[in-house]
Amino acid sequence: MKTPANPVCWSAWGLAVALVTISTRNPLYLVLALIATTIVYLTRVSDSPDSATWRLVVRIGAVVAVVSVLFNLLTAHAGEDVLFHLPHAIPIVGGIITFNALLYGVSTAVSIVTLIIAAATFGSMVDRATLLRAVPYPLSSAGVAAIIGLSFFPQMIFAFHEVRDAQASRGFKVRSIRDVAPLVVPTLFLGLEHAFNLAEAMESRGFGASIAPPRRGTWFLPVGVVMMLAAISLTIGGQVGLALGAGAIGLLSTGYGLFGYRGSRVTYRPTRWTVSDLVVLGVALISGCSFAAAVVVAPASVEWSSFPRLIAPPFSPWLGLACVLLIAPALVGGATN
Amino acid sequence: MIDFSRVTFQYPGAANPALQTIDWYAPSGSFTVVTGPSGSGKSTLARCINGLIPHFHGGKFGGTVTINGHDTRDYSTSNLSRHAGFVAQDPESQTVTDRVEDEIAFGLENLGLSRAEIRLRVEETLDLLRLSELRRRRIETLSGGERQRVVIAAAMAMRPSALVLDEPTSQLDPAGAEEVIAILERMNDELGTTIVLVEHRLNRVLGAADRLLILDSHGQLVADGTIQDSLGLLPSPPPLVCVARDLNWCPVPVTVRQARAFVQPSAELRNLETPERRSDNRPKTVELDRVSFRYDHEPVLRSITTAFHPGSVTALMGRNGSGKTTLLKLLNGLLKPSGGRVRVDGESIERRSTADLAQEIAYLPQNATAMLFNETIEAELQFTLRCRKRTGDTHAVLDQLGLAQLAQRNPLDLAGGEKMRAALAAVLVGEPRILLLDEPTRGVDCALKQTLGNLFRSLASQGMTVILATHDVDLVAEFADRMLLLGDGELVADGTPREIMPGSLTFAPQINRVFGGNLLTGEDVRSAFPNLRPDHS
Repeated sequence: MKTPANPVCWSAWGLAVALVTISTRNPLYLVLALIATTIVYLTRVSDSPDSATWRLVVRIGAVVAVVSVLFNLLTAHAGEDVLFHLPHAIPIVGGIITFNALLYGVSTAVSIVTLIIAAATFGSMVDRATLLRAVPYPLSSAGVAAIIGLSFFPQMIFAFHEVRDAQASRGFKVRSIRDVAPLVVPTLFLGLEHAFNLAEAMESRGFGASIAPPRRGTWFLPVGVVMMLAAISLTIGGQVGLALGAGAIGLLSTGYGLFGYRGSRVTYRPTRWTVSDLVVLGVALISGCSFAAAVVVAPASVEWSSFPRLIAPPFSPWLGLACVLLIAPALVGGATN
Repeated sequence: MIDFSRVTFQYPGAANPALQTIDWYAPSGSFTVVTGPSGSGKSTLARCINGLIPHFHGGKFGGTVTINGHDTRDYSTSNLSRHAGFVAQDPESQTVTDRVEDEIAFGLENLGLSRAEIRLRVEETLDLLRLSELRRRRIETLSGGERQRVVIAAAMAMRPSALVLDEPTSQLDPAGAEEVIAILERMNDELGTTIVLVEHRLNRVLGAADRLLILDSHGQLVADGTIQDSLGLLPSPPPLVCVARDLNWCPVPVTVRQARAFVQPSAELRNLETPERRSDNRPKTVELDRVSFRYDHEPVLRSITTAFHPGSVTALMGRNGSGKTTLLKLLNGLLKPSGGRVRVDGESIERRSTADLAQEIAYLPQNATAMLFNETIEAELQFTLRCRKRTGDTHAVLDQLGLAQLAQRNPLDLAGGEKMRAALAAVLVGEPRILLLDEPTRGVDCALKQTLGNLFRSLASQGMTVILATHDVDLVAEFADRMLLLGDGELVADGTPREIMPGSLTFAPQINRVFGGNLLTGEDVRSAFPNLRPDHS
C-alpha cells in the first residue's frame, strides 16, 4: 500500500494556489498559476473512484468558465478596444463588443478554473481521515464539517445521476429551464438524507464527546483571532507599527490556542513527513506569502484591469517565480493517492 | 442494562406519537429482536437507546431511558457511545473515513484514548470481525457485507456493553446477511454484548436471539418476552413458523436445525410435480442477444443471452455486485451494452432513449426518494402520465396499491413502505407492458411483501412482463415463475425456482432446508402433507 499523502503539505499548497488566484487579476500571473496547477493535477492525480467524480467537477468548471467568458464578452459593452458592433435592437447583447471585456472574462475564467483544479487535486489526493488527523484539536469539529463538505460534491453528483435515471425511466425529458424541479428536488432530498445518516453515524461513534476536563487557557484561540482581526484593521487604517504588534500577539496566541493542546486527542497514526513533503510545504509558504505580502506592501504590483483602456500588465519576476513554484508537487514526487 | 420506563416520543411536526408508553427492560447479555410493521417505531426505539432521540432528532420525548444507569436525557449521544454502539441500515452512508483501519480508529480517537490503546483495540477489533485482510483497503472497494462488518467493527472497537442495529442486513445478499448475523451471535455468546436488533426479516435472526419485542403500527408494545412467548403474537410470522404451527409442532422451531428434529429422517422425500417446461416459442417481449457490459474496462456482464415472456414474473438473483442492477438498466436503455443487442418486441433499442422506452417499460429504482418530488401522490402519477403522453386512471392504480386514502398526501412525508408504494404507483400508471423492479422488497415488512408479491402475479396474469432484481429468497420461491442466477456477470442458472432452489447452499428457502425434496413454500408443504392438515381453530 502507498502511504497516504501528507494533508498538511497539500493544504498549504491548496491555500497558496487560492491566495495567488484571489489576490491578483493580472493575467500573466494567473496563467502561470493555471499552468503549474494543471501540471500538478495531471501528474499527481491517478485513477480512483474519488478522482473520477473530481474529474467531472473539473469538466463542469471548464464549461462554466467558457460560458462566463462568452457572457462577459457579450454583455459588458465597455472599454475602448472595440472588436465589432452588434445591432442595438438585440436585447442585452446589442452594443459594442470589446477586447477589454474579452480579456477581463478570460482572466476571471482562468482564476476560477485554477481554483477548481486545485480543489480537485486536493480532494483526490488527500484521505479524509489523514486530513482530519492533521486538524488541531480545538478545530476538530469544524474540521469534520469541512471534510464532509469535501465529500459533498462527489456525493451530490452521484445522487444527481440516480435521480436523472429514475426520472428518465418515467419518460421525463428536460425541455425548458422550468423542468428542473423533477431533478433538483429529489437530488437535494437524497443529499439531505445522506448527510443526516452520516451525522447520526458520527454522533453515535463518539464524535464530539467530551474526552477530558476542559483545559486551562481556552481563551488563547479567541483572543488570538480578535488580535489578528485588529491587526488587519490597523493595517488598513495605516497604523503599521501597532498592526505589527497586534499581529504578533495574535499569531502567538492563536498558535498556542491551536497547537498547545496536542496531547488531548491522539491520532491512530501520526502524520508522516518526507523530504518532498517539506519541500512542497516550503514552496507553498513562499508562493502564498509572496502574494500576501505583495497585496499589503505593493498593491500596484498585483492590481490590473482591462478597463477602460488596455495596458500591459506589470510583471515582477519574483511574483512570476512564486507562481511557477506552485508546480513543486509535480516535480518532487512522493506519496500519491 | 437498557431500561425504558414509560417512554413516549413524537417527531417534530408529526401528528401521532411514534412510540407510546413503552416499558421495557433488556437484561445484560440478552439478544433482543425488535419487530413490527413498517412505521411502527422500531427504528425510533433503537435511536432512543443511545440518545439520538431526543438529542439529535428533537421532538416531544416523555419518560426515561437509562443505559448502564445513565439517563439518556443527561448525556449526549457521543458520550453514550461508550455504552451503546449503533449501526444503521445503509452501510454506504455510515463511513466517515476512506480506509478500514481509519474507520475503526475514528471512534477511539474521539474518545481521547492513548495511541497505544487505540492501536491495541484496532488490532483486536480487526481480528474479532475477521477484517485483518482488509485493513488497508479503501472502503468504497468493499462489498456490502464487508462494509457492514466494518461499521460493526467501528462500533465494537469502543467496547460498548450494548450494540444496537437498525436493519443491518436489509441491503445485503443472503450470504452477506448470514455473515452479519453470525457475527452478532458470536459477540453475544463470547463477549456477552447485549444486542438489540431491529429487523422484519425474522427467518434468519430468531435462532440467534433470546427475546422478541413486537410493536404495533401505533408504536405500542404488543409483546415483550422470550421468543416462544412472543412468537404467537407476530402479525406475519416467517414461513417456517407458519408451517410448524400448522403441523402442531411444539415448541415452535425457529431454526432449520430445530425444525429438522420434527421431520422423521426416514421419511421419504416429497416432491411436487413440476409442470412441464414451457415451450420457448411463446412471444418474447424482451430479448438479450450476447449482451455484455463493461464499466471502466472491467466486465460487469459477459455475453448474456436470454429472453423474457409476457405473463411471467422473472427474478434476477445473485450476490451483491453480480450485475443484477446493470442488467435491468440495460433493458430500459439507461445503460448501453458494450457488446450484443437488446431487443424489445423484436426491435433493437440501440437508438431509443430511456424516456422514449418509458412508454412501454416502467422501472422502479432501488431508492424511491430518487424520483418523488411532487406535492401529492396524485400529482406524482399525473406527472408520469404527462411524461408518457398517456391518459390513465390514476385512481385505479392507487386503489390497486392501497394508496387511495393517501392520494393527497406529500409522498416525501410518508414512511418507507408507503413511499415505496407511491413510487411504484408512479411508474405503473399509464399501462406499461414491462415492469422492471430493483429490490422492491428491501426494508419492506412481511405483510406488504405479500401484497407486492400478489400484485406482481396479478400484473403478470394481465399480460405484463415483470422482471425483478432481488435478494429475497422467500419472495422468489412464492411468487416468481422463473429465476435467473447471475454470478460474476455470467448467467449461472436459468429455470423455475423449483428447479434451481432445492438444495442450493445460499438460495434454498428454510422450508426446503427442513423438508428437502423440491418443497419451497408453506403452500408446498400443505399440499405435500395433506394428512397433516392443521386442526387449529
